[in-house]
Amino acid sequence: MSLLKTLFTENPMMIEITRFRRKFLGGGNSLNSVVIAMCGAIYIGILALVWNYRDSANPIILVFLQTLLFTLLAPALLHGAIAGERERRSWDFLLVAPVTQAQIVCGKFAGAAAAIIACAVALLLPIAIGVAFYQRHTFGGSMDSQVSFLNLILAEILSVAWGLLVCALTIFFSARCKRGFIALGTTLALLVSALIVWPILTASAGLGGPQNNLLNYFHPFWILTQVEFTSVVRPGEESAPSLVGIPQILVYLGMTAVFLIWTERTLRFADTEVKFLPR
Amino acid sequence: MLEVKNLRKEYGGLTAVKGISFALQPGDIFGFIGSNGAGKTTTIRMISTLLEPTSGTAILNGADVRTQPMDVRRMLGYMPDFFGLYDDVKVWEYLDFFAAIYQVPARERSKVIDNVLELTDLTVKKGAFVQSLSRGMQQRLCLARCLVHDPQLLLLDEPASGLDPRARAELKELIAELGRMGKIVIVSSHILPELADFCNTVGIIEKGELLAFGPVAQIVQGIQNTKVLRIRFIGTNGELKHFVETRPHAQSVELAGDGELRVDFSGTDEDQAGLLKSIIDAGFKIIGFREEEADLEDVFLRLTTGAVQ
Repeated sequence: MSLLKTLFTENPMMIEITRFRRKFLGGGNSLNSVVIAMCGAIYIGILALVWNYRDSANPIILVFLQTLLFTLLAPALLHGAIAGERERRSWDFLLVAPVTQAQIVCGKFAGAAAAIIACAVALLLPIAIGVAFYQRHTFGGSMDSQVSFLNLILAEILSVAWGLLVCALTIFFSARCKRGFIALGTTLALLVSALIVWPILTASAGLGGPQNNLLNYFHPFWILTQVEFTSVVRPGEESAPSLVGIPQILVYLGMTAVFLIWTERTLRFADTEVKFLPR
Repeated sequence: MLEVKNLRKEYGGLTAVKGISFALQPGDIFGFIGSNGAGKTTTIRMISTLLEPTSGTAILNGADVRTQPMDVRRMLGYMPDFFGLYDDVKVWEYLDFFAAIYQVPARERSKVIDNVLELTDLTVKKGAFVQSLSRGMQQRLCLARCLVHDPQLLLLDEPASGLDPRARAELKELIAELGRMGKIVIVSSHILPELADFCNTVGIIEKGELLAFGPVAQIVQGIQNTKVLRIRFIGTNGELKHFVETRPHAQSVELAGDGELRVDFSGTDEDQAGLLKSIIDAGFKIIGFREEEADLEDVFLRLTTGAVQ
């Protein structure tokens, strides 16, 4: 309880959430303004698209797209969280402040996590349209089933948990790398390897099934398709609770904690002495 | 009060700081002088809790940098020799961020920010973006950041580097004002004449050793065995030189240009007055008679060899 207070509720570094908001929504520089304007336009476009095709907009597929967004958004937001502070040499200012390194890491993480959650909340509107109007059709065209609400919530939690894991991974590389862009490149390279290259390689070798391959089993997009498959509910039937996705959520959250702790350990080294393994 | 006790830092086989000790009182402005690599920044980083000392410690108002770093951090403001500013926020947002980190209550932050902006003469730039400020203003903003939590000790590492003469003069006045407010200020700098202007205490460090520590006048006096007198006169050079050489306490006399003598004099103020009287009584036409004061630069050059580790 005391740890929770120190790291979150009474952590002065939670001001990072405000700084994130000011930095990305405050119009601090023209690039941010352009990106924000583009995001707004894309959001309105998604809303219009979902509304126009509302009877065929599968909400779990929308969660799938949201997960893809988080996979790209988290590294973009956080690659400079620590490496950027080192680059602009503002890191010392945080180290001489009366906050622990664990509080600094949690503050940085909370800033990005708040952005991820804000995105998830904003995307609830198109998902809600999908929930209200989507009908699964058979080949004959008659209404056959709807998406299970419980599975939709499961998919949403899975998506956010994945987003948090990507945030923690990015902070970890940001603490390990001396430059923000190297942290960004390393994080994206790892994600591309794990999410695209590895499944292709294992599938090519005939080893792609989740029963054969632990990494594929924890592939967020694979597990979202499993949640979608198990979400078929015929009209008038109760939805059966599904456990698909729960192990993945637990693993994502556990790995998030591991990466945050490892990041804090990394910071104990002198800032000129960045090493991957403690001595 | 700041007490630095036998502070030592070793990096592998290199001893960057060799057990230095000194004490400073509230209101002291301490000029820390040394060549590049002498150990100034290492000492400042140890006092600021950024580096752990190999041995020895520093105690600020009873809080030990080794055992109570969080207490020390609440009482100190650290300005390194680079700005390290966030350039995508406004001036007030930048200060608000650090005020929050230093746990200044939210309802007081606005007033605190206004106060430090007024002190650093940046009020008109409150709503400007940090990247739009000039170098001198960024330096003052950096100092304002150090002041948001009203620290008792300020560590300023090369605060005047890269500033134009006006910005330097403004910074000097600001540091003097902080001293008058009762803060302990430690300033490291290479610009020695400026340090002498506003520091009441100086320390000279070389190869990790504190060679001298104390008030500027005391250190200057400490290195001077004799006074240097400059006598300007009208008339023939040789006659006055010969006359002065025969006077008591005149150690050596040499011509320092046309119509001027430089005299190394070992006597007291009374003896000095006596020398002037005897010269005038002897009929020489004197138009200038002054004691040359050694400055901090002389002291620094006299005490140090320029060697680095």
